[in-house]
Amino acid sequence: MASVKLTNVKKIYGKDTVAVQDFNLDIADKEFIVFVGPSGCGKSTTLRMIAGLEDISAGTVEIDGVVVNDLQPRDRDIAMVFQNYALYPHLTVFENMAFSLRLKKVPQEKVYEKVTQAAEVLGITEYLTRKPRALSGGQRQRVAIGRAMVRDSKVFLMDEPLSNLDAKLRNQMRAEIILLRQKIDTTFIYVTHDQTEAMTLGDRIVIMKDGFVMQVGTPTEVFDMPDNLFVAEFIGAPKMNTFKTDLICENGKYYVTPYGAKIEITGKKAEMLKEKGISSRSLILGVRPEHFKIAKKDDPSAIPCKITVNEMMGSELHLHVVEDNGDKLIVRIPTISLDDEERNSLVYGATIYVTFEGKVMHFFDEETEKNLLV
Amino acid sequence: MKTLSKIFLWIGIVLGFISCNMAINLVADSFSVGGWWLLLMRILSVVPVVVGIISILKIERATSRKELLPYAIVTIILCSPLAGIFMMCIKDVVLKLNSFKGKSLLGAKASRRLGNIAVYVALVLITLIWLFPFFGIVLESFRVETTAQVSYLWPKEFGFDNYIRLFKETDFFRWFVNTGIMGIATAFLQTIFVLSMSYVLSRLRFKGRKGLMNFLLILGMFPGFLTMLLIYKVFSDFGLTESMAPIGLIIVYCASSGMGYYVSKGFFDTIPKSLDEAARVDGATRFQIFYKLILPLSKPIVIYTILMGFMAPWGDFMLASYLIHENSQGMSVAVGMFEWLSKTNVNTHYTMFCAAGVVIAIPVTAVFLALQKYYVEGVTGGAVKG
Repeated sequence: MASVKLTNVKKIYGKDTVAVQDFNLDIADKEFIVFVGPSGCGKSTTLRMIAGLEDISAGTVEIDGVVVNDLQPRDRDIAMVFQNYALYPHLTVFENMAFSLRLKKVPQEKVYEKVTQAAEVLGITEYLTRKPRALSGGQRQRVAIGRAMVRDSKVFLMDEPLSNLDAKLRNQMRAEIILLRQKIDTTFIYVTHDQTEAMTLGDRIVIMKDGFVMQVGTPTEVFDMPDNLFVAEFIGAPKMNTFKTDLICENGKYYVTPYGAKIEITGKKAEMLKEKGISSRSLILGVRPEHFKIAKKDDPSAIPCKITVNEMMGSELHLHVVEDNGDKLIVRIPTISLDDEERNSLVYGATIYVTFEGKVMHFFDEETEKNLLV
Repeated sequence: MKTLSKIFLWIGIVLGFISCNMAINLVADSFSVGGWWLLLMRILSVVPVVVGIISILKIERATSRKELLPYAIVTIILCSPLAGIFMMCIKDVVLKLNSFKGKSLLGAKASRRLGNIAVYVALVLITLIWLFPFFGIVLESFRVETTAQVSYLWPKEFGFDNYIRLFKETDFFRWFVNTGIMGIATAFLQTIFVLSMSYVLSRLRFKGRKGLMNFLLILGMFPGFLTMLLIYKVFSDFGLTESMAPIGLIIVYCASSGMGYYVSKGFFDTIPKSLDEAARVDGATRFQIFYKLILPLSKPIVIYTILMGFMAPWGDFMLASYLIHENSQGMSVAVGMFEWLSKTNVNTHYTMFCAAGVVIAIPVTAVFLALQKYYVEGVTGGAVKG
């Protein structure tokens, strides 16, 4: 239970390989923070610097107001769950979980009480006498979490704990981590490359790329108002469609003209454009796949394109389409909105017309890739 | 048929012919027969060779089961006396037989078993060849009728005379204790040095680590006795030669032992680093990680290091003889016993030498047997998801 503060934290490997660049973050007590980004973005390195497993090249890390830069991991009072579990193979599950308590010379009854309690929460009581090699992947991960739980530490760090599990187990464990969080009630820092995990688990998400923090915000904020093109494309699956187009300002009304279609911008986005005083210009337009819909051929806002891939996901249809210029778009259509005839007509090579509404667009600068409305 | 099988068969036929004739000679010598009988036997001994060659050629060319079967049976019968080596050939013949339509002569399982038997027989043969010298030494040590080397193996008279002489008439017990102490001390110290060195080089990152490793590697390529003169000079100044030589030798054996870090470092490198990290987060110091985590996980290599350390003094002669000089009080077994093999001593000491060899084998074997159960494989299973 502690706050964590990172100020201008930097990690440089060797002479000039920069892994993390000026990382600034205030993590409140009992907050669940998720670091997310593609591999090599520095998220794990940042976590390991907080844990004390990596030296901090510049800047300071504070836990509960104490600068911990030069403290050994054991003096920082943190618990960590590793991606590959890192269980001690020669010890039983019980001894694995009791390891840290034994080092602290906690009395035997207390150790027993804590370990059995944690095992009960995680549902691994019956495996306490087994060795790690006799456990399945999911059970090992629970032991790893249990080992961190018994510590009652100030900060709970998790480094991609679910990435070694199969899809079904991952979903199940994700839900369990949410439940676990309510039970443990401490400060969590969670690293993942999976945006779904980030969105579902985090109170706030830190999106990173190439060592830079791209955006920090709640799941809703980063989804609705991405700071830049990278965040827009990273969050949401399938990823947001982006394409170059012109913004036209006519008589106080805003239009975009993607691929020859003309679509009026309405609602809040139009107001924000007006507030910012943005005039006619070219920009990058972002539209999420689920905001597309099928249009009539004679609709002025219709964009003609050809289907290249048709992915039937059950409740929805993912259509990969190619626009006349060769730009690829992904369109996501709820199956329920289509009748049988329409559904059968959506085959490879068929020409369809798609459009989107004026209130769901995102606008990015062509050069800086920054969101124009932020 | 496989080429290897064919080669085996040809060799077998030649060997069979030779041994057959040797047997005939032996019989002829023993029973003093000759003339027509011997000639008949020699002619008869050619028959299996001819039959064997015809069989091989026929087997090679056979196109149907009917054609192959009689020759296959002949080959199997001819090969059966040397079953071990020729089991492979039999297996090949059977496989070819089975490839034609009709009832199989031997099932897949049986022919696989034939292959296994072949391997086992070959291994047993090799083992016997290896064990033979040891067997010979044990027999020599119980020989009573003479103390010199003789041309026959089996003693005419068995007894413990050599062992009794060993402990009564020579300083062997003293040497044995000296070497034992050196072995235990070296095993203990060297294990600590080597394992600490390996752990440091495997886990810690510091400036010059790579350079140090390369330097030690190159340094280790020079033979140890290059430094002998200097070692003698220094040790004699400190009084660590002659009767005090065992202590000097312990120092020499352990001092540079850290250079032998490769094997155990290689082993430590296979233990995932994230285990160290997990332990560090869990509150362990580097030393606690070393002895609570790394050592239990590297039992085989720890045992290996202990054994190597324990065995070194028993076999070292050059450095030991140099430091000990001719002081019987400070001798190790290797240096002491060497004297028994000199031209003047060998005829009176040879069987005793063998007895001493047997006695020396006891502690080394005992230590090995006591420790080998810790050679458990797969201790790292389940640590991390690979």
